[in-house]
Amino acid sequence: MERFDRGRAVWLARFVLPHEPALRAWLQRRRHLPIETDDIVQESYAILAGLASVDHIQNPRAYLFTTANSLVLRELRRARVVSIRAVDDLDALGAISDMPSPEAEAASRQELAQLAQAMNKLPKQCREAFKLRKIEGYSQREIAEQMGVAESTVEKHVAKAIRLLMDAFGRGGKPSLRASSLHSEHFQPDHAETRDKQRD
Amino acid sequence: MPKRETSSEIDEAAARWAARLDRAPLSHDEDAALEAWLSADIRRRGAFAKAHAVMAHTDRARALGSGSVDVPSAPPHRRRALLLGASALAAGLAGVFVASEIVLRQTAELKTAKGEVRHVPLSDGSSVTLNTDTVLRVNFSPATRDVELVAGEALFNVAKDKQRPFIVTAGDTRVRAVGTSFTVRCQKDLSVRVVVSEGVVEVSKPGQPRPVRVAANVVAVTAASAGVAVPLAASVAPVRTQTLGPNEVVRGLAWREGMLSFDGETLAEAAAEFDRYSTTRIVIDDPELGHETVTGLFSASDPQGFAKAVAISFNGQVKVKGDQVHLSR
Repeated sequence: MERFDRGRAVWLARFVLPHEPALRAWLQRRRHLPIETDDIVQESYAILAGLASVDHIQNPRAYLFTTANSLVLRELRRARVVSIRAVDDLDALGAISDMPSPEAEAASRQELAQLAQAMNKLPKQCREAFKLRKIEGYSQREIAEQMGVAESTVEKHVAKAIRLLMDAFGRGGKPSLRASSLHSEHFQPDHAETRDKQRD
Repeated sequence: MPKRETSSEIDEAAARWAARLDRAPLSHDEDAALEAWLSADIRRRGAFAKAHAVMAHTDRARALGSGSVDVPSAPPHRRRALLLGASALAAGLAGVFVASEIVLRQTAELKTAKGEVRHVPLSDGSSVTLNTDTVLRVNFSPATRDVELVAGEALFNVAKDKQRPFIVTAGDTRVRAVGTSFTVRCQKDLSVRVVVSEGVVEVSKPGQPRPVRVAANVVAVTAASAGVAVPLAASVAPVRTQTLGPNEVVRGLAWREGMLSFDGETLAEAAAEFDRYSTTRIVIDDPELGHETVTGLFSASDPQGFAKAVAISFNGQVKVKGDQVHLSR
């Protein structure tokens, strides 16, 4: 059973995934805010995946950034009182989201080269299984027979490949942090009184 | 508090589910388990969607053919190109301007209610953002772009057009711009405050021998208008300027996001500021408390929340009586 149609997955792959590194970079610059980059990114995907339709979205990059920004603002409102530095960051989202997405026009050959590169970096067994699945188009059962391993092992290889590629495409290859840090670790108030308010 | 599931753990579980779905259809029980997993945390739905997007993306690998994976390829460096592209576009937007008689004429009265913020694109490619309680009249002709700020505050992002200067009038203060970004605010004492965030504007006012050039990150305040009983001392220039830090300029624009930002303002000043945005008034019953200073970012539409936060830091009390929020110690 599908949780959302395949068309949406393709749309996300085509128009959202390429912008995730830029979105992460943009969120990272707001680290001192009471927000968690990984959470905002995941929730943004959830919102885009849950839209009834994406036909009206002319500029997916802008839509992604606007979605993420509204989540950031929601977090700021929840925190209600944050460091004065927060406002440095209410800067021109417009300037970012109105930007064209040169990536969108980038030669798809380059994209394919990146894809090949990312797949090459997978561990050997994992790469072998994933290659058979995605390039040769075999089913997981057929791959299990070919490799002489259990079907569940192939499933694990595929899962691992997906996991590693999620990082490769979304973070420009940088691994995710092991632990999701608490909000307070990123929160550096400039004034003691602000901190006290925050604790409330 | 139970340990919060990390985003990395979520990604991992999402990848497992995607691989499982890729193998064969789910059984009834598995399907229920997936649904339960997904509905417990919105982040999981996002990670699950992304795992599928990654799978869809790798489908394109088929175009590579079996030989291509294992073939090393040079990492493409696109960052520089990306930045150049963006600035080229920004320059292009400022330069391209298609004029026609219809586009050149525009008259309109724009208004916001208390607490409302409105962004309005204008026919010449400029845009204006009206802050709370603001009245603005736009009068564009083929030769001029005149805007009258009748009351309140507005941010102008002016599209370049050397042939047609963009002139904002507030009382007897005139602000002239070609292509730039600035805010104009009519203050309670009828003085006018102009803050430039980009480019240069010229501020003129009767009594000022020549227009005062105001550059980015500078604030100009014109003296309270004549006609009001404020004697103009010889030493007070009609237009005074002061340099602001870029952060201060951005801070002053927090209202665009529905926020108010304070950095060392007195509580009385902050309460007056909230007054502009909401019909709920903050009344400070203890004058001494009014002199305390506040720092922070607050939701403009939530004076009560602000009062509560203040009460906590100053050991005060909040009492709500109808439209008034009373603060005392």
